[in-house]
Amino acid sequence: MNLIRIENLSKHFVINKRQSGIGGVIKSMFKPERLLKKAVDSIDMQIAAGEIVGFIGPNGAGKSTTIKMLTGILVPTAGTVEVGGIVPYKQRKAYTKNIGVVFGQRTQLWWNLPVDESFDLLRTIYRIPRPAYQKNIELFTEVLGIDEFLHMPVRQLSLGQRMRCEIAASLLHNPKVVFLDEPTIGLDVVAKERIREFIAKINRETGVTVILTTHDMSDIEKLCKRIVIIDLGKIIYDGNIDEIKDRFGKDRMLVVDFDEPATIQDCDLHTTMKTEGLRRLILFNRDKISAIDLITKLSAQYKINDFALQETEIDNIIRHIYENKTESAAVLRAI
Amino acid sequence: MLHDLYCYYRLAGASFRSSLINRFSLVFYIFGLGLTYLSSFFGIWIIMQRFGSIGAWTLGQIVFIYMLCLGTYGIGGMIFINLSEVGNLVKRGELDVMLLRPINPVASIIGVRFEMGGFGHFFAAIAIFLVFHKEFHIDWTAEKIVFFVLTIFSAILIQGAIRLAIGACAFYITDTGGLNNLYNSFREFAFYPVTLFNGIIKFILFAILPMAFVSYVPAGIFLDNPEYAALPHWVWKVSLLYSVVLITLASRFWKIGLRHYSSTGS
Repeated sequence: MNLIRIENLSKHFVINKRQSGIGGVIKSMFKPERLLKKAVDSIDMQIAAGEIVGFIGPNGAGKSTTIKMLTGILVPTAGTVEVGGIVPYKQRKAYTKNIGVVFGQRTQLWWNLPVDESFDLLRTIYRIPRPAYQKNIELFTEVLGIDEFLHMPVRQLSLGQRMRCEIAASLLHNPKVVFLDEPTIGLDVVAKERIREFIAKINRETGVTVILTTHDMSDIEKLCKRIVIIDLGKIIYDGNIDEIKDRFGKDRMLVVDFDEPATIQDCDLHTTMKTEGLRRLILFNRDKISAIDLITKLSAQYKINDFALQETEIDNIIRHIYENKTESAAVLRAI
Repeated sequence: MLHDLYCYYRLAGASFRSSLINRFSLVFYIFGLGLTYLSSFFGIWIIMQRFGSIGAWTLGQIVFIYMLCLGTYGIGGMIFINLSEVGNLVKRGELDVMLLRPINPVASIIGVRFEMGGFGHFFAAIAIFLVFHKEFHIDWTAEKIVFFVLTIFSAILIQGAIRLAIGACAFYITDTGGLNNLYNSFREFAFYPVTLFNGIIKFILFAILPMAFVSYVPAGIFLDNPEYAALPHWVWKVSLLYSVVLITLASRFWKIGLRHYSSTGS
């Protein structure tokens, strides 16, 4: 039985196109030019209870809009969204008791209050019975090590400390599903690792379903078996992560500053992703050609000023998938 | 509803306690605000000393209206002030966080900030009452006292309704700074008997920003002024119910705005 059911889900926004100049502003006041943006365009997804799903895509792909529809903040334009038999936006108040949400960039805690007081307010708001509340606090302090700063105001916490508290806060009321929107953003390696371990442990112990959006490939690698990639409002991949990692995780990005305008032919060894003046961003597969070989090859043709090697982040993988849509789609289908 | 109120009480209590951290500056803030109003009040008093009355209005009557408006504006501000921030909450995505809680988002919004400055207005109003209550010429019967309490409730409710309606506008225009300013400048007129002003201002104070119902209209229950004799006495008492109408309308508008928000996003 699937916990989350999404069918033909769409969200369209009408955007007023703004024109430049005073004349344009006046013109658009009287005769606004409207654009229809399909932020989410007829997607389908089923998620079973207890899964950890990585939900990824470049900025503006439709991730947040989908999450907002799943959490009941936004009403869909068309289609069905159901979580545990409840339509989120129709029974918002009742539904929010079943979910926990962490927005990495915002806080659900109270800035000026000590953490434990924030937790206690949430206990009131969610009407959490005291024994269950105590049990969770004990579990979270143990696993997350938050007891050292439980009495400190939220504003004095480091980002890593705050994020641990945010995640604890989102789980206090034993939700069935927790949405984690970039929970590791801006954290150092140790803090990231700690958050990941905690998410994995809570998922194991309580069976909470986790929907994770992130731009950090390691989050996905360590936590998710399944990944859903969305771009331009459509799901372009939904499946096992290992296959996609095999195919695209070996890609590296070489940033090269040439001394002269360079024309580099794409071939099956490397692809130019971006041209910024004399700078080229070249994507290559490290199984097919090593970075050294590639640089040697390029420097044989043009003079190179400087270069840098980038790990491929999920964004780059997705961009690669997107920018080579037909090829990638074929690859993805083959998987 | 009860749970929402209880949550508001807990949230506001937390905000209240966290404002107490810097007691010294808080005391100066509150007394500073109180003194500002007392000094502008002093100006009226001097004018009244010179002329004895303005139109048919005696000093005590003008002071009563001033006190009513000032005190309830203070309490209304303490509770509802954060409704002027809805636009920013939308912009910063904080409203979304509030919508994810199983309580009415209004409780979450106003609970974030309990405005201590309201005590400045409130204490100034009490000081005015203590000094001038003999000039009011009000016979404080049990009935009058009950109606006075109801008047205060109704006045707070009306200011809440106005702030809620302005907050709801944020779902359409995002920035309500202009509307907040408009409210802040027009409420100043309601510190005085509104019939002293010209037609347009009167129209605004009765029909658009109904601040007349905060001070001038309910004062008819208590004051013995020829203007209030124009209508039967019960009319002034029944007028208190208008606050219920206004808060109902404002909540309806808020809900429509929220629905608009959830279909368009920010």
